[in-house]
Amino acid sequence: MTPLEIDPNIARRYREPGAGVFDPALGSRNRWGGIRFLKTPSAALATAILAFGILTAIVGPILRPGDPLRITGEPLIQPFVDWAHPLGTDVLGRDLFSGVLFGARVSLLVGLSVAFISLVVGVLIGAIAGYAGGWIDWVVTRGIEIFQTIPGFVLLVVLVSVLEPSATTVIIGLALISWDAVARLTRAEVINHRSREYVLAAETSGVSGPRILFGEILPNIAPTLIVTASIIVASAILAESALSFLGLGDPNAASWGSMIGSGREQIRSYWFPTVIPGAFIVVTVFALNVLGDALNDFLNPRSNG
Amino acid sequence: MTEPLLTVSDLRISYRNALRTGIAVDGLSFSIAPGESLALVGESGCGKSTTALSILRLLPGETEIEGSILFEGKNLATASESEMEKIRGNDIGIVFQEPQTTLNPVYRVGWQIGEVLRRHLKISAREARERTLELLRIVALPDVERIIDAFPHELSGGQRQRIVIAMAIALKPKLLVADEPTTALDVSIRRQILELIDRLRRELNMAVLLISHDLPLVSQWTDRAVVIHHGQVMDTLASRDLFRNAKHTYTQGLIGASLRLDDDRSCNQHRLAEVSVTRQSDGSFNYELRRPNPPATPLPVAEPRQHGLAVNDLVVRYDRRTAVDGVSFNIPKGRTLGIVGESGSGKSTVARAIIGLVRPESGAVSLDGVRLTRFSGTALRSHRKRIQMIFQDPFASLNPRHTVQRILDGVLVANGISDRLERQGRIASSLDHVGLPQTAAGRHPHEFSGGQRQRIAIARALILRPEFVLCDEPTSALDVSVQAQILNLLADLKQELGLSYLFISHDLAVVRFIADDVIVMRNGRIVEQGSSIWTAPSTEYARALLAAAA
Repeated sequence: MTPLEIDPNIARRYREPGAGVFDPALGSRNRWGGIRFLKTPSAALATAILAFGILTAIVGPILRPGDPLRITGEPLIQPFVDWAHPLGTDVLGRDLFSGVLFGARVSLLVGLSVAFISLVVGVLIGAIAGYAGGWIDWVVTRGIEIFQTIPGFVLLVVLVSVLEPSATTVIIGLALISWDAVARLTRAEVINHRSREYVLAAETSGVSGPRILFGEILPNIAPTLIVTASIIVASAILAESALSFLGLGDPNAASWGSMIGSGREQIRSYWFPTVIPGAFIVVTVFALNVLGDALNDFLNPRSNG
Repeated sequence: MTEPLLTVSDLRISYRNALRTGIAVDGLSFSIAPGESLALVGESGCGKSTTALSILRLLPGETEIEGSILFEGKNLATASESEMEKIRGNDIGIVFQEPQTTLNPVYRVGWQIGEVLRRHLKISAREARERTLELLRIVALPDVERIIDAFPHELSGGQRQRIVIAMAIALKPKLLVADEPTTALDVSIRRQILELIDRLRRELNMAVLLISHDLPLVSQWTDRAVVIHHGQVMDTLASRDLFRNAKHTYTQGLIGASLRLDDDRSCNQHRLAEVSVTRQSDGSFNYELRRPNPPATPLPVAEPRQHGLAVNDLVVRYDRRTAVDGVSFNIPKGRTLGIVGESGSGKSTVARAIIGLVRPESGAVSLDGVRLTRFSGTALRSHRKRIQMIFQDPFASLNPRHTVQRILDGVLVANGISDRLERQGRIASSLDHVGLPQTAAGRHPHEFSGGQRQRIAIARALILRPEFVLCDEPTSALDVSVQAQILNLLADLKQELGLSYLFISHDLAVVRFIADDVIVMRNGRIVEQGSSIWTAPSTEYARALLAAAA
């Protein structure tokens, strides 16, 4: 028994009758929530990194116009030497800086699309299964289990090699192996909320099923889903890099993974064609995970009262 | 006079926590003599639990404690953590409210008690087991050889609380701190647990600090009572004088708001006292006692028998367990039927079956002679409008993500009221009915206290203008003074709007006050009915319930 956490029951009593005083210290959570969130150092750092990443993905082509796969100079120029190629060039003489900029596009596009598709599909299927129960739930749960028993990355590799490799294929493939986790989580959360009194109260006032599910329950489980989404973005970026590294990504687009793949053979003598895009992957995925953690702390405080 | 065992003087505790900030205890002073039983009484938030935890120094790190807590000459407020570890358990034992969470579910209870003994006394496992068996006998558990090897989930709530008490007294402490030890238990078990604590106090010559919100209980089981509000002492008096000689207005208000079984007050003729506390501009508090009268409108006259809500031979099964087993009753219009029973008696399931949250296996629910159980979908919905429900926990029954406006509006929209002006008008009038300001509409549930939240829940139930309202333990999560306000409100609304209630509660005194007729349920069946049970119960079970509640 260590005195660590304040009991949420004691915490919420500060405005009960015996307390006498309305303590404004907690204030309104909603109005200044965003600012309070950014006051956490880790959250601010992660948000800044990701905002910077998204910004580069958008303005990148303006900054470095032209195809990043074009040969623009001498092969293997060291970084920070030639200002025409600030991050140097790879073994074929392709500019690493424009490669990284375009790679950010691919990574973020894949990551965000995968997260969006798996959220929509997973939430819809999981929510309906959890709310309906009975045989619908049974069928959906078995379906999710099938997806969970198949090794995701193997399925992805098979899909991408059978189909034409393009960004769309990669996104669809990744969504296919990510939605089941969302569906499972949503189903569990919906079942948990299904029997809470506020849901029963809505039911007794004659609110229809779909309205209860999407109007009452979903807003309450949204925090959990947002946190999951940030993790999905991170893992999708990693998986896309792995695919491109194996040469299974879109051959016509520069991506962080494919850059590492093509720089791999010279890594003993020339570190930078591998390390630079690698560092971008590490920083982005790290920022996403930190953001997920920070969101989790912020959106799911121990007290749900 | 003997030297006090524990002297708390000018204790000030403030939280600096993400969940709560501000002063919880504000200059509290009291003392306990050896072997004495002292109660800290007050409503939620008054700082009584915080005080109890501070004596054992179990408060979170970001808490400031000022003042002194002298226990046998040692100041616990400044003692080191290693000193405190010796004192906890050895000299001061603690019993929490919820035995379920105090015990570790993965260990056998005997092992958990033995662990305390082994750690503090450094004795062998065999010796510890012997001592544990003896302790289980002391707390009057039956069949100790079996219980010592049981897991917590295999025991009943009352048995678990006895285990917790056995753990607390294992090292023969000089002081036992009991924080609401019976609040989570059924009425009939409460008395046994309090008797046990009282017996142990005398046998072990141990002082007891009882934390409670329950004034009748305190007046019966303790020597002295300290009444607390906003962390300050209102009254210190002998417990037996609590109901007779309360000096402070706040204490008088609490007394007036408390219901006792032998009060013989009815909401048709009486209202409960309401104490209102307002904060002056200089920071001091003003206490005002109000004794409202019932409204002048005449009581609705009960209409002939065939009208109203009738339940016939209702049977509800969950999986294999029968929750409700052949229950029949009838609520004429304008009357209140109370259902009393302990947890698991099926009383809540009856309400849920009436409103359609659970599907009955057989039997009929009919409203003015029209069977509801046969309907489904829209037909049921149009009839369901006439029956609404109020739930127990106002913290759980309101969607935390919606504003009050949206909560109330959603009900109207769902019931096909498309005119925006009419919806606005109805929201305004239902807030009026429950005594909330119009500005409440724009706020979220978490901005309100428990009592205000329950008013919102009542507004939601009333907004469709129902004739029958099912109240499932509507006041058991609330404090005494708030309970009085809500009961008064329900009584007023019944009279003004001609409502009929089904009032479900485990609290017999509340049911006696609010209900015209009463049913006692046990294991899904009706054991006894009719208002004669208050004076002359005919069944053994009803007699036991009444005796435990008295």
